[in-house]
Amino acid sequence: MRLLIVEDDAALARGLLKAFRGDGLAADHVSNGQEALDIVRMEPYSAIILDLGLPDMDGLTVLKRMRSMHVTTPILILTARDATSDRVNGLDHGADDYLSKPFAVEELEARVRALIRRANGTPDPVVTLGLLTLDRASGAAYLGDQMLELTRRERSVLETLIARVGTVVPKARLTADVFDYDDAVSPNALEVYIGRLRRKLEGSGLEILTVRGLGYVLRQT
Amino acid sequence: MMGRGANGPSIKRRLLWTLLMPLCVILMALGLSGAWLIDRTVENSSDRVLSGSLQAIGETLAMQEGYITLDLPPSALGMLENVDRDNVYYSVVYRGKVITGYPELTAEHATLSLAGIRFRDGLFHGVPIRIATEAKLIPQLDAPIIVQVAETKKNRTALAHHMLVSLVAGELFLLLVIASLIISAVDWGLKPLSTLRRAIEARIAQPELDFAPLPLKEVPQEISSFVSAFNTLLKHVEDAFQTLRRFTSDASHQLRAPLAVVRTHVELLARRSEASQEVRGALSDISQAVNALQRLIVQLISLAKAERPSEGGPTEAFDLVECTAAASRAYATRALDKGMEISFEPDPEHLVVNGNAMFAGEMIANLLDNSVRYGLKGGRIAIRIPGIEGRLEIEDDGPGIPSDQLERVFERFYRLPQATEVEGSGLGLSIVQALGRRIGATVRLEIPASGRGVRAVIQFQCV
Repeated sequence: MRLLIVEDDAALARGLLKAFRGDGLAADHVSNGQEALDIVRMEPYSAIILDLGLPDMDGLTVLKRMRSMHVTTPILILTARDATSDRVNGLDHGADDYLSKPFAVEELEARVRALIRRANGTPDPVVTLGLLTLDRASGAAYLGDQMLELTRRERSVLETLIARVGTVVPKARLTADVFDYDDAVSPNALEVYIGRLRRKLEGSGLEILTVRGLGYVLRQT
Repeated sequence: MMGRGANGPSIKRRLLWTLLMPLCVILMALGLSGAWLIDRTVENSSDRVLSGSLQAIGETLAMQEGYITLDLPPSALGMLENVDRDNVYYSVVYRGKVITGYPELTAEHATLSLAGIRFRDGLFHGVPIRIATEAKLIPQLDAPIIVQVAETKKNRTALAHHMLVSLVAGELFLLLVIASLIISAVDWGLKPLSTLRRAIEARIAQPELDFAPLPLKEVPQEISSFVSAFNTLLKHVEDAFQTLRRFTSDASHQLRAPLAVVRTHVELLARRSEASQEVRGALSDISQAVNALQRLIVQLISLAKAERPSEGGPTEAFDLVECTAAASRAYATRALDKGMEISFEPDPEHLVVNGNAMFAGEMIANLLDNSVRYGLKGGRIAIRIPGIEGRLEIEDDGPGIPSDQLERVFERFYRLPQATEVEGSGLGLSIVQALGRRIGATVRLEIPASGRGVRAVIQFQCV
């Protein structure tokens, strides 16, 4: 795994290099657009972090040239601007993600990891959260080493909540995921499944909270 | 209302003064000469009648057989009769001796030449009279016979008075007509000025500052140079204003790059396990300060953006319920982290209002940020859309805001003295207000009936 950082701010680049090398990635740094275009021809990178404010040419130009050179490496854009038009422009010109300065290093690392994973194929189907382990491929769920019995609909609710852990999932979204069009859904049907899941997740370090009027949220306690 | 009732010179007053004063002087002169003319005319015409009477008497004087004879025709004095019943007196005198008539009239004959009739004013028993005197020579007499006819002046005075009153009345009428014409002409002439003033006042009332030049088309030539000078000034102000806004935005953007460096290195340092307790403490302080700075910069940029009319999407209809739900979900996690209870209670299922969903979402986010930031642990936040009038309420049961500060907290960087230990930029409500202005929504804060916490009310424009 090899990462290219195109950033003219040497101090920031040093920090990023340190961070990614600490994560076990090989990382190179160039400080202008021309060098970046030269080096991507020769080295097969897994991901590129591209700052839009470069001294010799606009970051978007670098992005366009790379894409016209058929470089398919995932590219994450960094910029000190955050106007929506900039973001849309970047994504339109072939960027895969976007982060505005200043950012949390952890978030950048997570996004770069996600980009590389996505480029490499399917994501890991097994999720672990607290004591809960869910294999999305087989549908098997464990609490610690105990097998957790879940009905199809309970599992469906849990999967949706896990996919968005920590955020409030609208009731409508859960209902849509759990029930088919021809199911006659009573208003509190979902509430029933949530109730059952709550009981089954007791002691797992996970809780499902109801946020009135907004939806449900799965949280680690 | 600007500038009205100011103490500067008034163009209207000046015009009225310069037009009406000469008019008054002219009318006065006209009146005086008119009065003189009337006096002359009345005297001449009355004297002519008097002289007619005198001549009629004089014609009949004759010498007959050594006596002076006089045949006083009734018509001679009859022609002097008038409605005012003036008294008529006469006398015929020869060598100082009254031949006939009122002896009182003789008193005043001076040396008379024989040239025609003389008129003079006199008194008869204290009453002013007009006397006509003629010296008549009759053959065979060595001295002239003095004939005098007099009448009291009631009729002449009445006539002159009557004419004078008509003259003054006519002049006053003329003055009134001309004055009202001048006043309305001046008003009409100055109307473009008040139209201009209203156009400027209308702009002041607008929420968004309008620097577009005033239209020169309808402006009269006399003030068009003034208006174009004003337009130039407006342009300068706009430039300065835009420069200031751009500066805020540019400066904030420029601050982000170095801040990214600081943040990255602080985070990396914090990862090193060998760091001492002291170093960790310092790193945590730096990290917090960096976060506060970052938030401030982001808020400054939002404010600059909210105040720049060119930024952001157009005004369009959007579903307030959906927009509020989306913005609230994003903040629900933070509220839950703080152990707060948060609820969304929309009365309608959908409510379409005018504005811009992105701006509205940002307004709601800023208000929720305040509620979470200043709210109490274990407190509650209620988001409501009561009814279908486009009203949105966000109420918390936090420490609240004193009623005399409910307006001040909208000022930039103003923070309640008791809230300074909570990290915040003091820009949130300014942003909410600026965004509201852009989409025609109003924001106010009020104290809930319970007396605890604060309720923010946004009134959106209904479709």
